[in-house]
Amino acid sequence: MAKDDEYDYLFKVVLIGDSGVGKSNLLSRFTRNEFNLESKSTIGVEFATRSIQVDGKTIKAQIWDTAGQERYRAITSAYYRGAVGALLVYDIAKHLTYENVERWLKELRDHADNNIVIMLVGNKSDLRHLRAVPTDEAKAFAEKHNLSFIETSALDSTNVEAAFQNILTEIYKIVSQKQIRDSPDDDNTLSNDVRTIQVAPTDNSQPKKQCC
Amino acid sequence: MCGAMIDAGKVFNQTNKQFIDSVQDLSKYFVADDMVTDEKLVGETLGKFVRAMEELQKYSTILLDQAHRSICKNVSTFIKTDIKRVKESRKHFEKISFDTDNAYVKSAQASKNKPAECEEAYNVLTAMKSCFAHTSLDYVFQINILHSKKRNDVLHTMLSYMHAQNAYFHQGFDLFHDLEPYMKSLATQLDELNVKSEAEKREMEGRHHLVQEKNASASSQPSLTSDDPNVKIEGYLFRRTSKGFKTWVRRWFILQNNQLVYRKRSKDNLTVFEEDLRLCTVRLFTETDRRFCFEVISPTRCDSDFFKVNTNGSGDGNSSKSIGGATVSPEVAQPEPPKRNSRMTILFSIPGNDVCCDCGSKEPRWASINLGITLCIECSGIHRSLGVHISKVRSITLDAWEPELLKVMAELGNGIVNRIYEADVDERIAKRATADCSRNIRENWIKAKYVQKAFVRKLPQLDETSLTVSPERRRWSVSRRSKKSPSRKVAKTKRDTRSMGDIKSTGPDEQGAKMLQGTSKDSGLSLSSISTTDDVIVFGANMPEEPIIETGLPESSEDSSTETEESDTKSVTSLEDVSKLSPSSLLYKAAVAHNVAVMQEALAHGADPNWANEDEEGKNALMKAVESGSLPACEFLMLNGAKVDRKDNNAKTALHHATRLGLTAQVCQLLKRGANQHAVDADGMDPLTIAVNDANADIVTLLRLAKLNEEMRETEGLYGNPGDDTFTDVFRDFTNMASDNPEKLKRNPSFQGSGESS
Repeated sequence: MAKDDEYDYLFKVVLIGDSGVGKSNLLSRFTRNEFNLESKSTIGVEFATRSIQVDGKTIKAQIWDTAGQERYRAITSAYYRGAVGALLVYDIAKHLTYENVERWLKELRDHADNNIVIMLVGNKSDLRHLRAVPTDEAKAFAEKHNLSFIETSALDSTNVEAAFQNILTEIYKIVSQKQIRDSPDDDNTLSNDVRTIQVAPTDNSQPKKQCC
Repeated sequence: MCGAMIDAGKVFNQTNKQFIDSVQDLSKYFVADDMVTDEKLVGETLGKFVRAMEELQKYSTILLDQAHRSICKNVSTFIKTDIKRVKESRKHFEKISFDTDNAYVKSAQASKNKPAECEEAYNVLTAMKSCFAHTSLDYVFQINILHSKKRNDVLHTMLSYMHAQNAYFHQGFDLFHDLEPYMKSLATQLDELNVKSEAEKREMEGRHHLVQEKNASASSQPSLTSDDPNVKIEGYLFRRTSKGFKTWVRRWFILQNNQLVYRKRSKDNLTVFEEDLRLCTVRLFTETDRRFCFEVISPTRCDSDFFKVNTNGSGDGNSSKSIGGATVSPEVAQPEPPKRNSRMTILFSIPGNDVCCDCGSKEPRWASINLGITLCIECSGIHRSLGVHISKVRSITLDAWEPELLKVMAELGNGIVNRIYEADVDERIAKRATADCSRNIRENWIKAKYVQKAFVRKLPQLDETSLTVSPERRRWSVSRRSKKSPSRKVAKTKRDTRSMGDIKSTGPDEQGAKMLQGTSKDSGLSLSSISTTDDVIVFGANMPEEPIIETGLPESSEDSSTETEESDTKSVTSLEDVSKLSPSSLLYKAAVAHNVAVMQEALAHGADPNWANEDEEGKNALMKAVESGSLPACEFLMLNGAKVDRKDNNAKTALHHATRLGLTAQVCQLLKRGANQHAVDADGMDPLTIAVNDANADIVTLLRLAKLNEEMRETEGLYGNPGDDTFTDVFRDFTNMASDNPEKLKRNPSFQGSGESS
């Protein structure tokens, strides 16, 4: 593993999604290149870090792998504090996990920073014969909600690297851009390539949670 | 001359064109940001003006062209052709006249002797003469023609020039004639605008005055939160966000009711940023590239907040300056007491805390957090000099206070502590300090009180003889602390002198009554703690009733583990033989009962906070306090020298016990105090393993987070990084939750939606 001692940026990224969609294995594949078919439920949270290079800068990703199972989840605010990115994972072979994506988005909206970068990840793409969520459908959903989208397989390593690389690059772009511009007024008014979370349009009227 | 004129005209034309261009630019600018209708009007007007000017320009170009053609060409052709001809004829004429002269000379020279010569010369002369006459005639004619032509030509040229001018001005006239009505309307519009802007200006001036007045007198602010007379000052500041992206955002900050509130530009809901600015301080923040940054150091938040003064406009600068001013001088703010549960209110509502614990000065602004008392500034200085093992001094107004500390303070207070430390005052040892005594007296008094502990009443001894019951049968216990018990008027009387010899009854607490039900029902006096039948000494039982302190600190989950016991009406700890009574065992027992006041007394008697009870697997007071589930008891012990990582006979630390019992708040507290989570107990388990086995998600999260923070600190230790912000944030969340909302920290077995925690 790369030496983590020095880095230019430290980004906290959370892995969220229903129980059993493969969050922990995505993490272990990315940080340790390991995969375990019989992994146990995560309790509370687990951490791992890995540094990657973007644009000549070393970016250290501190990844928070959270419990998907309700009874193993800690106080929610603990998970999203300071998170700048979220990988919202579902299982392409279990349609229910895809349906619950909306719920996870709501949780993010309620607890996470408004500017958090979200990537929708359809995991277990190796289970082709069992696919329950068409790629196009998920892609359309992601576009509608302004998320980036990728399908991965922690088992055969497909796109795992790319998923993390993409989200970290996206975060880096926003952060480095912000450092230059230091957006003068509202942090909601971001420039075009920043993904703000606009979930279901019906509840736009709800007052945003103050970040303080 | 004509050429020069033309050139000048050309230059004029060019300048004119430049002018028009710039005007056009201007109008474009206006049109570009035609947000305001007035500006739009200006833009349109300018556009028309530009068009007119362009026309004019075109006309004048035509004029110049014509002038050029008519004057220059004519004149130059005139010069070129006619004058040339004249010149030629003049040359010819001169030549002829020269020849004629020659002929005259020759004829004059002709000798009289040579008539032939004379004849010839005469002939030549006559020929020459006639030739000359002819030529001169010719020349004169030429000149005449030239003159007449010149007159003609010049007149003609001037006429055409006049025509051109005429056309030019005519066109201009037409143009402006067309424009005239528009100009008229424009003029009226301008007038209106003038009036408007004048009014606006006056309004602005009025506002300016108003603002100035407001600054001076804090009068009402019509523009914002209109009927709030407490808005003191407001303006834009840049605030650094606390979350992931540490960007600077511009917010509208308002000072009102001693609060600092802010809001986003257009949204109306105000966010309270600081509850009470009088408790905050401000300092320049230099560790950033930006200029004009300051940070607000607040007691209610662990971190400080950074601001950047908005540099646009002096008004903003003003506001930030005044914000700074208001906060550095908290005393300036009007003395109306804040309604909120601010720290001051809580602390000063504790009995005895309104005056300095040691000298009685009014309005103490300092505190000793391990003793649980408030102090004036002079006494706090002496307390500092004693060293932190005796007294840990904090500023009530300036330092950061964690919720646990407030709870410890709420458990104690000057009244209780002085009943311990000033139980038997002997002024022969040291003269009592007063508000205006000399430093010497003050110092001696404080040292005698806390270092020598000279005024603490001795513990009851085995050799007490005043009791009728034989000492072997005597036993003791500690009253459990429970604020929820109804305070009855049982133990209202002060310490009875008779009791001095045989019981050690400690500081007040309102729950003495409940204890009485369990153990000794017979007496309404302070002696009630001794049951006549059993002869039990109960500590912390006969407290004079104090008014219930509405501290606003909700009770934490501390009683959860003991509730069942209490419902058995056992509000005291198990009875112990008095032979085992020692300060340390008293502390231990008091920790079991989480009775902080008794713990304080035990320490005053010299208890060892790390004493291990061999009767109970070598556990110490801290572990018992953890087991009792009491945050203040734990905090009090750790403040008073209890070692976090002590192990019992099973090699378990306090953290092991807290984890095993699933006490999230205690785990958080111990971790904040730097408890070592890698300690392995006799079963080879570390706290994390226990928590994972128990599937306690919150504790697992806390333990892992603390571990992560440790690792991060190791890698960045060189820079003295105090740790990850996220870590501190999350721990603060947990701490606040433990203090304010303890139920939420209990694991909920009915697994509801996750989105509703916090």
